[in-house]
Amino acid sequence: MPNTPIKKGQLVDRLAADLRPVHRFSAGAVLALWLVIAWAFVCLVTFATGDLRPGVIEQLRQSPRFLVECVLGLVVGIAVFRNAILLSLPGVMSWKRAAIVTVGLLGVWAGAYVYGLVNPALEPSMLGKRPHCFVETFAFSSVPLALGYWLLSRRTPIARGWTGALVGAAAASLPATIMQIACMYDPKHILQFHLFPVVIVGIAGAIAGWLAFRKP
Amino acid sequence: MTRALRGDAEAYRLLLVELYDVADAYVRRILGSSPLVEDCVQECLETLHRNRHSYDSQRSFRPWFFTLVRHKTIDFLRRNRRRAVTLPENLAELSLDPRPGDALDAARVLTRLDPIYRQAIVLTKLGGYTTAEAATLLGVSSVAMRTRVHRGLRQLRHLLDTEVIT
Repeated sequence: MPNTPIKKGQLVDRLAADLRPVHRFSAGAVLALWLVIAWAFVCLVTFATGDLRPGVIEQLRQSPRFLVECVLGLVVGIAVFRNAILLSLPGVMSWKRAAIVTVGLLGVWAGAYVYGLVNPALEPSMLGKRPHCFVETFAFSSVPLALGYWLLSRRTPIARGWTGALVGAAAASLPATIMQIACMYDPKHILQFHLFPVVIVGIAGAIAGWLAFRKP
Repeated sequence: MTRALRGDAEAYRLLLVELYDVADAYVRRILGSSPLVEDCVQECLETLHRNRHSYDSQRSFRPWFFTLVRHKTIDFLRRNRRRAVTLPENLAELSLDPRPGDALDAARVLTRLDPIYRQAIVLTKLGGYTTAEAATLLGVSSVAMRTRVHRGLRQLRHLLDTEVIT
């Protein structure tokens, strides 16, 4: 038994008196909320600032590998944000496991384009090039990023830097994915101007997470 | 805890009484008989209270609880590095050479261990967890935990030797 039952009693009474019912979203609901709002925003601003690449629907129909590359981007974004949510629940996932899974997923996604450098899914072409796709990828990730921070700051991200990094990478994955159908297709261009921002926003997200998430 | 999340104050009170004792035992194993133990336990329970919304009732309570307590204790140790550690009561369980004064030295150098090794030593040698249980708590494999304990003990021994020489 502890040595100070009076102090213990006072503390327990104080905390019990402060008890209020907790209303919270489940991890799945948070993921769905983030995905719907973030994806809707990214689609809206992308279509508001330019058109899809001409003939892209046909390309999606005719090239299963190109379709897989597009779906892979969306899956990576969702999986990485899911890891960020799990990381913000104490005792559910270690930061190392989250980091390994995330780096692995991003590696597979980038690997598909590295392979595309020698054997592209589509014929590389300047058709549909958006002149500011690099900046747009950053800019379009701002709302998913802010929304992700807001949702996870209401939880308990113990590994603040890693949680922030995962939110950043997930947020930038969405515009990077949509750029695959809205901008030109060339694996080198995609790696440089669409996927590289995912890494940058991830690093910036880690710093922001370290600073913005409060200590438990 | 599930009832407490719905606002059942009596259930919450009973839970806190039990958790106080568990947290107290855990912190005492790390800080020993330091007068700061009560402060640390209080901070742990306040942290649990503030972050109770992050408990998912569909998951196990134990990892959630110990993750928060461990995090808060380490945070507390960092802030009170010079004052916190005196003499852990179970320090004799450490597999060190039984030389006079070793326990006191070990208590001091424990705070200088790399955090991952300190966690492994504290959980397995002071906290009484098996390597498998400690591995589950920290989310690593049993092999990794055994390696951490081995390296932690080696580093602890090296630090103790250095202390003796200096």
